[in-house]
Amino acid sequence: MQNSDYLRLFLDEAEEIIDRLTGNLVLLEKYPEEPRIINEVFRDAHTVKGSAGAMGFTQMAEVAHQMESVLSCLRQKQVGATPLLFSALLSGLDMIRQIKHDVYASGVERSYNISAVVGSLAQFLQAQSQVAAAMPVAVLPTAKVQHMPKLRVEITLRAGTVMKSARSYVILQSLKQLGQVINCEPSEVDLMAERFDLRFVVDLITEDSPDNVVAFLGQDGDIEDVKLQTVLTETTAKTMPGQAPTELRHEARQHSVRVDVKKLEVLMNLVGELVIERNRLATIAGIMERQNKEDASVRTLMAVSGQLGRITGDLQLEIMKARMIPISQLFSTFPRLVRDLSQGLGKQIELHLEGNETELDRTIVEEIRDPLIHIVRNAVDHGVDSPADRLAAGKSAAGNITLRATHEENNVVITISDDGRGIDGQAVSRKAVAMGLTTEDQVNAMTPEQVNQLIFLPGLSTASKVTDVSGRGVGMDIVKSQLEKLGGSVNITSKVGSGTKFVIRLPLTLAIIRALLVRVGDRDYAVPIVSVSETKRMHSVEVKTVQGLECIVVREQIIPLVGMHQVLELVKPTEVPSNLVVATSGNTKVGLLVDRLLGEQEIVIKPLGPFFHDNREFAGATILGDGRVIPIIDVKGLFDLINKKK
Amino acid sequence: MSKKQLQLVIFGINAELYAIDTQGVKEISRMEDITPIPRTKPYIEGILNLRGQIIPVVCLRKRLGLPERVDDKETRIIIIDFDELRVGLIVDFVSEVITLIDSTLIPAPEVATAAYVAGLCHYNNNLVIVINIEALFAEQHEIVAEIGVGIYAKQ
Repeated sequence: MQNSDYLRLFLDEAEEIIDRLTGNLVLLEKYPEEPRIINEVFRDAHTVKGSAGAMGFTQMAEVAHQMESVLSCLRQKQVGATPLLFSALLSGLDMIRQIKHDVYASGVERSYNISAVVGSLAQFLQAQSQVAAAMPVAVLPTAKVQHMPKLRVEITLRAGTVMKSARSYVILQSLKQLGQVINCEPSEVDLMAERFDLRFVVDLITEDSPDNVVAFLGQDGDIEDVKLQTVLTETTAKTMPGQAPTELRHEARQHSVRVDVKKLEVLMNLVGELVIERNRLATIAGIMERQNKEDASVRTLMAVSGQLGRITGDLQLEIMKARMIPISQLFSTFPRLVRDLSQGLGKQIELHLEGNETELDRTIVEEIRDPLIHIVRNAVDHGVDSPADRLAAGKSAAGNITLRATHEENNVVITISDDGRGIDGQAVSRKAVAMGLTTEDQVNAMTPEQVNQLIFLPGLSTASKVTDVSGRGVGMDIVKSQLEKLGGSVNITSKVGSGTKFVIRLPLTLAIIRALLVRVGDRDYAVPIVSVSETKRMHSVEVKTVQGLECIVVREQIIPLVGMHQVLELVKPTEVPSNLVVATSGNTKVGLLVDRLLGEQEIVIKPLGPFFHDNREFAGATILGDGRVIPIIDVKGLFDLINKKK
Repeated sequence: MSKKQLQLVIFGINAELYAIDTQGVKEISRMEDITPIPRTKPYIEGILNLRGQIIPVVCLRKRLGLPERVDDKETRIIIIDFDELRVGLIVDFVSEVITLIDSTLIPAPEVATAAYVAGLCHYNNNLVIVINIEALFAEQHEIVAEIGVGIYAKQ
């Protein structure tokens, strides 16, 4: 193991813990009495302290230490669970996240102004601190140490634990933070040199109860077993009865390993190769069968080829699934966000998360983070009304925001709904007309549904005042285009007085899309189906000339008509192209002339690579079942190209 | 000067001989169907399906500014890896792999100091131009074949 490997493990672990802490802290604020939550939060803060300390990130360890101290007071009911306390804890967590982020980017801890965060945490610590347990033992007076019980901690690592020496080091460091380690068998040097089997014994002088020590060690997945024995020091032997060994069995462990995403991509490519070889085998088997149907070995070959096909297909699906992560990883950021925003705005909001276990491609999860945050911010700021307004309207004082994720066929559908004041369609359309984004006649012809979609136009925001949270009129159009870039779509429904609902539809994975295959000249191209609004035969449409440009009228809308061969600078076709693909990107539509429509198909997207960086009109390429390579059109890039040529 | 051995793939374009270091050469394949990508540099022939991987293919003839020619059954694609990139190079023919006992190349004469010329070496009484692949794809050097290599290739 290299140093960098430890760092990566540390960062992976830290990220997981920080996410969990964020969610749990917000939960704890609601249910401060819940022992399960406070114990988990306490353990997590302790783990961060321990592993950050072990990695030498002292500032991170310091902040975590302060958080742990405050949590300790909270657990012992020495401080009240006030919003102020949670804000201090959360800003401590922000600092830790910031440091982690920098360590991730540069590998080192920079210099931070942690005193403000640490100070605001420290004010919750009581003067006659009973939090000694969480304080470094080095500062404890020796006299006190003598009166503390000695614990004999016997640790057994799980069989097959990798890098035992590092694990034992981390465990030892954690124990040292609990108290004073007075003896270690085998010796620390032997532990570092991995000169031990799975078991080692640490003698510890600590004020912490044996149960706490077990709890501290309990979260370490590599520990098979912890045995504790209280060995009383002479001066206290008469007053404190000995305790029986405390045993701890782990709860059901999660059976999982971390895998580098790159490795999954390599696997994916290998399966791609396998698919193509399988296809070749199937072709050859087919030829042989035609030549010699009776031959038993040919029949076997056919069977094997069929079987191989099924296995390959399953393998491809499973590897695709391995790239999927539950949306809870994204949803878990929202309780904190909604808490902070609603407190700032003086609103009461209940956030409901549903379908946490819904899985989708990890790239998509990362890419939809910002758009979702934007929509949720809007819901908090403009959607949910103030408690006074709500009560006046006969609703409960607390508003509700619900995030729900579900699977629908090959899509993931995410809805964000609130029970707030809804969108004022008239205000939206007035503003859109005033800004020249649409005309009065057009607005009058629109259904209320269509009016609502106007908020996705660039520059439109109905917020009467610009706030910190939202309302600058930027965003919804970007949200829309960002989701479309992923092959998704977004729709809005709203009813004045009863709420607003956004429905986002996303593909399960970015690697596979549905595409329409078209022929231009002697080559085929794939157009992602999400960018196709309809296809038509040329003779069924009306061609007009507007300002010297050819246009067509589709559904009472005038859209430009462009020959695909023109945009792509291909040879002019001998016959006039007879088919039309109405392509759409954002709010733009263009009629693309192609020679033939070849039907829809699921395709696997592969990147074109650096040689084609300037070709923004292509999103990549795909390999069809017969081995042919087909470029995939990026409709937005194609539109940009068309505009440039005008 | 090092006496390290150097292995070269000898290939031909326009009846002249060139060579590249075998390091980085993944395989040599026959001409296959190449999917053209519109609106690219003329020497980028398109993309190729190499066992499920999509790789760009460059026509070395066009890259060197030489006239076009119809592919025949001798036409080969040399698949090379450089800079974490896998690329196919179309050449007229591939003759063989040779080992130079002394890896020191003959410096190119001044008239032929195009950036992509790593040096020259002897092969069957011919002088062969050894190509530096990295330089060949360094975009700032637009290569023009005005260099008088021809004189040196055939003694």
